[in-house]
Amino acid sequence: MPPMLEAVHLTKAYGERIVLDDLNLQVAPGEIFCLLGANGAGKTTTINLFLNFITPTRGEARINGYVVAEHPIETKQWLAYIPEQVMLYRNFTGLENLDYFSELAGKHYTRRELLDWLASVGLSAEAAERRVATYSKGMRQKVGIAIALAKEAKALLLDEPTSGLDPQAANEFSQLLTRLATQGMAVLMATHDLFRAREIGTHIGIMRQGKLLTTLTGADMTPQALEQLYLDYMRN
Amino acid sequence: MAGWLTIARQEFRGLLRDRRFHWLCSAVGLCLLAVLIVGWQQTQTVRAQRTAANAVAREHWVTQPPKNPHAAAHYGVYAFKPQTALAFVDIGVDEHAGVVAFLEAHKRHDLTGAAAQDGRTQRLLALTAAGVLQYLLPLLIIVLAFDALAGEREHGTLRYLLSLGVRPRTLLAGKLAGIGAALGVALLPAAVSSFLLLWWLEDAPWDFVRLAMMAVSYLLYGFIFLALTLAVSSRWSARMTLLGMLTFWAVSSFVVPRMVTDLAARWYPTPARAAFDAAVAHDIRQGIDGHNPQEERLKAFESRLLAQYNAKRLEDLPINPAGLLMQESEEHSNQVYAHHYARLWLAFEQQVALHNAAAVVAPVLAVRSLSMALAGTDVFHHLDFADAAERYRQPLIKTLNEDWAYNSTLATDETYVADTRLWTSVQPFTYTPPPLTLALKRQWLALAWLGGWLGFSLLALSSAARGLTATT
Repeated sequence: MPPMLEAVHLTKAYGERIVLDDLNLQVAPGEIFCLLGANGAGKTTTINLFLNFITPTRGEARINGYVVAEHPIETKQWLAYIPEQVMLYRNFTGLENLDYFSELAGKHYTRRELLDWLASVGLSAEAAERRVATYSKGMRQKVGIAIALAKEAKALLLDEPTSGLDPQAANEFSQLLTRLATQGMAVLMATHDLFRAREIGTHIGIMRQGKLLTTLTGADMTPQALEQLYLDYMRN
Repeated sequence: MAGWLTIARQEFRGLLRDRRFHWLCSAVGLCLLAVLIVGWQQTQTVRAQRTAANAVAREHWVTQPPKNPHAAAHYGVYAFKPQTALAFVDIGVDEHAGVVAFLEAHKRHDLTGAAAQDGRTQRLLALTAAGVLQYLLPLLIIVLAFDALAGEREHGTLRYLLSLGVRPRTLLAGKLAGIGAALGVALLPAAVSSFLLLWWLEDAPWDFVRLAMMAVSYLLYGFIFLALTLAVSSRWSARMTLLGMLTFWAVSSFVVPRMVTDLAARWYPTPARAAFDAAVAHDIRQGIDGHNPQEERLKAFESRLLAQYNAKRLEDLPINPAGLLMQESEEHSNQVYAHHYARLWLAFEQQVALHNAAAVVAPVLAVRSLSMALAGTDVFHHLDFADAAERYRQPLIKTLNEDWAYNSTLATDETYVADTRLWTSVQPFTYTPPPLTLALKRQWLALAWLGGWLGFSLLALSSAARGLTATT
């Protein structure tokens, strides 16, 4: 069985400038792979390549064994994406947004089912009926997760999802992600947040200037080792 | 539900919740409804007035007292152009061109009695339904659609939509359908009203066909603006799309038509009234070629007449030569008028052709020409009526002159009078506008350019679908 997410010699260059250099990684169902790195390290480029928002210069991004560049629409059926700012339609309620995006993903739910999806990520029925214009960032992120759940995605791509969330909202979000992983979802998350990554990640990849320098797993990820390693790489 | 339908529904619901949509559509929709009703009322009044005027003119003609037929030829007949039913949608050139022909001996008069001359231009700032559709509809579309895609991109939802596997062409189709449906809802009352108003005004089935074709023309015109706005919105920022499309609207709707009108007047000039009359008078006196003076021509005719009746003096003729000389003179002036009016008509037709050619950069010119042609109020219909009136005038005057010539002599000339029998023997003037096919054939260039713009807008949409990416 192929890994749900896989980068094989994935490279992206704009002219002479290489922004992602020969990335190789695999994320299996149930794993949370955190890409750590400073701005410009290549994290968002990696996400964009999996989404086929940009095409690779060399190598392949694969989802469920399918090459994304060759099957841009098909591969998205397994994928859900949560950007740093989940942007929804402000004039519509959370429920209506979920209904709309689910329909576009080919899933049709009753109102009760939609409310259940939202409740499963911690959004009350009262909040679900309110227009998104009144939502906090954390509430919008929850709707984003609900969309991923309703879509029945097998892989989740997250780009700095906890950036700007208050500690409680970030904590709730982390718990949600962990729950999704235990249910079999493969998660690839770009983040600056070292401690959040250590808390929920099964794998942590350190990126700098387009390169994946190292990947830590399990016992390697003690707080002290991780902090030291991260600082060392960033310093160098 | 298909993806494009889901997007269309979302766009439709989004617009219905948008206060901007409420205000703009209410304003344009009500304005359209108002000008339709006012136009219908005025058309109904004008049609009744012209029918009554034609009847009165006929009554005056047949009840005129006994008089010399040539005096009757100068008493003249009025012919009123029947207003087409669809003038309530597009009054066309009838607003400024004449609608009444005074038909008398010797002279081909221009049509008079333009709407603009009797103060009717004051009606609702001279707006017509056609004007609202030609100028305000594109503006409404631009204002509602400029951020349809640019807004999604700037707001961040475009990335989200594309991440779900929504194809750009599905997104474009959904936007097109959603905005189109919302506009349809806003304009539906006016569209239905126009058919109902026509129903109450006229029962000629061809007018319903014409109105349906007019509706299709405006639908295509609206589609062109919507497609172009979406195509631009897919590439440019919302602000730049608004600015760019408003510039296109202003230039193509006002600047280009104004420039084309000036160019048409310069390239295909029409003579001033006084110059035209002077040229006609000169040619009547001197002949069209300048070598056939009136005096010599009439002398030659007299000689032919005397020879025909084997007489030495006009007084000896068994007929009245004055009537035949008048008719001879009439036929010569008819030729002169035909010559000058053919040149004038050609200039008008060339001006129209230039306007239609300029539709390559201004779609409003194409839809305007088509709209007027379908309403039966374009230049060609105007010229057709003027020619029909002239075709009626010539045999009318001939009948009167020949009656005078063959029923009197020079000796009885002063005492001869014709009466009601002659007046009633002249058939009343009737006019049938050209058929729809001919009206459209004359506007083939406008039709072609509207098709061209439609093709271009589809290409622009197709290009937009290919170029629409999350990172555009």
